[in-house]
Amino acid sequence: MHRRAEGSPVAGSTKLTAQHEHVIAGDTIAAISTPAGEGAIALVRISGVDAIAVADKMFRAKQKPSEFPPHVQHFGEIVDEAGRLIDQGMMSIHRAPASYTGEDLVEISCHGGTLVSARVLESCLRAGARGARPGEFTERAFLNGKMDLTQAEAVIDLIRAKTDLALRSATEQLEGRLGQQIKKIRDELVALVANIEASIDFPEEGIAPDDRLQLRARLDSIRKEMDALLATADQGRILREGVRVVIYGATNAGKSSLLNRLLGYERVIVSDTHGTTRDTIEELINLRGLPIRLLDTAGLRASTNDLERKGMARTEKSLETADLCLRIADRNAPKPADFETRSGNGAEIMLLNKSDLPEHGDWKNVDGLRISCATGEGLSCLEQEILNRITKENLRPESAVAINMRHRDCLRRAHQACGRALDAMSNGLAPEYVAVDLSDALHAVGEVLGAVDVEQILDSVFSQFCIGK
Amino acid sequence: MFELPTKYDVLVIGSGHAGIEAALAAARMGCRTAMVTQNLDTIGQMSCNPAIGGLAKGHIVREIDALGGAMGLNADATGIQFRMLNRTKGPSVRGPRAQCDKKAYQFRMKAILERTPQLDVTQATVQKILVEQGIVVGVVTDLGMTIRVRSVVITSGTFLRGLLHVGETTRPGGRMADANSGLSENLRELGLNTGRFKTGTPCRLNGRSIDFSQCEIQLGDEPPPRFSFDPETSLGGEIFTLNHTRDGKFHVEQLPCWITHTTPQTHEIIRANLHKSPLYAGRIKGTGPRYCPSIEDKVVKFSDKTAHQLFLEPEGRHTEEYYVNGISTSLPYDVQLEFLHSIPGLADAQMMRPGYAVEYDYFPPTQLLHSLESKTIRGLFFAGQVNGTSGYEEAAAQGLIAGANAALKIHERPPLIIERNEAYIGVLIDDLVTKGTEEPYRMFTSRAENRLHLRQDNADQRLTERGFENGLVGKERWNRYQEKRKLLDRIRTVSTETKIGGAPISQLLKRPGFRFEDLPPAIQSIGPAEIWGLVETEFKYEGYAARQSEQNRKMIRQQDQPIPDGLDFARIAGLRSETRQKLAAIRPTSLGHAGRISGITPSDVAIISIWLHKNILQSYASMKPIDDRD
Repeated sequence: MHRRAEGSPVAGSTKLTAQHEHVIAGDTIAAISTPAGEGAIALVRISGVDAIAVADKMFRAKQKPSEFPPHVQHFGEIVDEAGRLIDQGMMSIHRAPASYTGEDLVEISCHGGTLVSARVLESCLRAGARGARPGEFTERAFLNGKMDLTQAEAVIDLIRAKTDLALRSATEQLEGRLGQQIKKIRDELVALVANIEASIDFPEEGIAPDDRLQLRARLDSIRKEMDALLATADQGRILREGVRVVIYGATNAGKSSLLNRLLGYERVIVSDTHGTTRDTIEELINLRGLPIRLLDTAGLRASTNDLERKGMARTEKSLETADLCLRIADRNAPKPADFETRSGNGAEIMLLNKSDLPEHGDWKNVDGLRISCATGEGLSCLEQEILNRITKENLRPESAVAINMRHRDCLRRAHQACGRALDAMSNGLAPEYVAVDLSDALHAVGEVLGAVDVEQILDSVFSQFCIGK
Repeated sequence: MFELPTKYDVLVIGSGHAGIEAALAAARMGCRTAMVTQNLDTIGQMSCNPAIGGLAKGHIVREIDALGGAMGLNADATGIQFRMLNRTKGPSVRGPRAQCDKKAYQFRMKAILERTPQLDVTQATVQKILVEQGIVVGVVTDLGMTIRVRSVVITSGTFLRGLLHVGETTRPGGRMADANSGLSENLRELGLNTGRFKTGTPCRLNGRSIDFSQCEIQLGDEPPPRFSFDPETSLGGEIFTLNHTRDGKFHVEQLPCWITHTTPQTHEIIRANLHKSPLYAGRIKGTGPRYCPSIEDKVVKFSDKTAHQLFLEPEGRHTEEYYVNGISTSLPYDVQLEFLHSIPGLADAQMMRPGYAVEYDYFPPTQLLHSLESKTIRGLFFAGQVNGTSGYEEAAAQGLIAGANAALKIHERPPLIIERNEAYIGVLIDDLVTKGTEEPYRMFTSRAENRLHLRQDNADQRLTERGFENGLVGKERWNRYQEKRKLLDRIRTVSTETKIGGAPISQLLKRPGFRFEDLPPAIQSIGPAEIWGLVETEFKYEGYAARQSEQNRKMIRQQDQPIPDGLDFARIAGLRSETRQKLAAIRPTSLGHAGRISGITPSDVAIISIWLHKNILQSYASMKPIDDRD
């Protein structure tokens, strides 16, 4: 097991073949297999030892995917790590060796469009897969004997070409502000690790390594920078949760009816009684490829009912976190007294509902999209307007979303590792434990910027401290 | 021309720390072995500081001991102060260190070599390696004598084209008062590349001229921690043996070290004389180690520091000579004297030997296989400082592995390759042959990815079996180790199966504040405290150690895929030309090895893997019927 084959290539060849076969049962990778863009259907693939286990975590159907008969399409719901719906789609599983890659392979067809497929991929990653390297599926297919030996050169060319493309686009991204910030975080982490390593490896050199409190403070500040980066990378949240569109307005203006219209089915109980919706209702819709999280809120009106007042407080909160608000009013009724004072925070579309009924005089000079939830009038205009505003407010992620997603994933893991390091410090653990967590963090950041090796740590040690006997 | 009638299986050139372990390992494994040295009186000399071990280095000494090597036992027998560094940190980063009596260390080692069966120790200078059809067949000495051999291990330290510098004076030599060697010319003719490194050593003082009242005292630990895992192994009788184990206790009469520091005046004197330093005047071309800077470097690069710490270390029990740790220099004699006198406690110091720098040839170790055999000349092994490392311990570790592999080759057995996740020795050799080194290489614990597992206290558990399998560890020691393992297993079982207050002992031991001493005496008495301590450490580290090995899991799996020796990387289409050049220069032996070369991307590794797969399958198919496979 520990021995390395040496000697002539001929003598070694039997061993080589055997070892190749053993090694190819690789870790689990996932990728979007269809070209980036706005195709109607996207294909996400998972391959490797845990492919089917990953599928079990992210797909809800009548059976668990691990119980599916192979090579058959099954309809179901694709969910995120919290069990929230991302999309509906088809899944088929292919067990090793009868699959494209020769490993356990899962194929998921979901709605096209960059965002939905990216969220499906992200769900795979969070369920334990790793983002595939360029050409890695083909590489595995080849190594597992799924392709003719004469195709080797073609496979090599494909890997080379895809790698170059990915490198170029990653390089472009990293030259931007995001790249600079991640570099700064990496450098600070390296300096911090160097500090700890110096205190471990040179106990007698008169080094006064930062004490625990200082180390904590430095790590805390690095983590805050990561927090800020993760929070401002709004695309992250949008990918995960969809664009948050909040419907609000006076009671009985038709908020729930609008939600139902946009959803296309009766999800919310609609009645003519004021104050029916006392809680906030969330639904994810797919608006021409864009995931949109619609929030129906409790109507706003002066009320003495405790429950209703709580509902309204939640509404206020939803409004604060909305990417876009749909403000809806009943144009058939008089304008509420507090209408002007409530007007908008941020991006908002004004909707005047019940265009099938006569307009009350109060609304004559109010700008807004006239719609009717009862007849459907004006709703396609509304959909277009929502898309326009999302584009205008720059809520739509750039096209290279898959790369961004990987960066974010790395940063998130680095952030978690820093959290563990802080916990380790709080629990009074010795520095070499803390170093394990920080090394996790550096590995994660290194996946974006290139690996940090021990020489870089040592450089930092020797430039910070005068070491040497 | 005279040919020695004795033919040897293994011949070791050099008698430093690498040469000693190489010769002993080969002889222990039953090979007819010769050790050839330029000077029989400098066997096992500590050319620099009088200490063995320290952080990472102490780990290596214990690993050498577990593999049946001599360094740990010899340091135990001749130590004059023993300490465990980093006691306040966790067990994986504690490092044992011993100040040794330099002369006792040397003489005792010489006695051991002289009494080792199958080993001949000879004084001679090797001038030439005889190679026929790419295979070593013998050596020729400067007296024109030919010795026929089957393998050669070169452990010539800093002696190859060694050049000594003290101020503006330069003279050839491998060490102050020792001649250098011209062997590197011969090796270059055989097609090997050389590089040039530099290292330095500080002055030595007469202790009677030091005012110790101006210094801070540093005492050894009581009880003294020893290196060897096997106290039963005889410390070699009474020959130059200072310390003894009696009634299970290790008895040492310990000497103190002393601490002082440089002053702003010291720094001023050094700055005013920088132009006389061969380093700063540009006369030294070789690269020196960053972790062992000269005092000139310290003063220049850390100009804001007003004091640098110095340790005064006794060189032996029967000498007044003191080593001044922290003040390595190649400034002229008069400048050394002047700045010494500006240091508290050293105002009247008498300098017995000046500090000096040495430049020397080394052979970039990327020319070696993991067995430390040359990739181009069969039967030629390299170990120690000649491979670009620094430190007695790093040298000894390589010597042991090179000697063992020279012997295994004679016995036609597969080489002994220690992996990175098994031992610091594995990290050391893998780093050397995979990445090479830009400066004299020293081991640090931060180089070991699996640091939490590679503890100094479990080196025997990691390596005794490897040593025994390969004939490095004898039957008696193996049996004693088996007893220890049984005890360990018993305590582990007790810990997982016995509950106290509902929680298994293993869970209690995981808690940061809980020690095995807190267990009820009845349970503790099941095994010795030493064993309980080891088991406690295992449980405490378990979670973290598992995560650390998970981090490295993939890397290790990749390591297993070999790349055939002599593969022409230029034939692999799809690799960029710079990648091909790198691969051709380093000649990786496995995909994992290739992946660790800087600048080689995972995609490059994928391409090589595809190429190998195709070509090996094809050549295999054309050679043998398919059903012949097993």
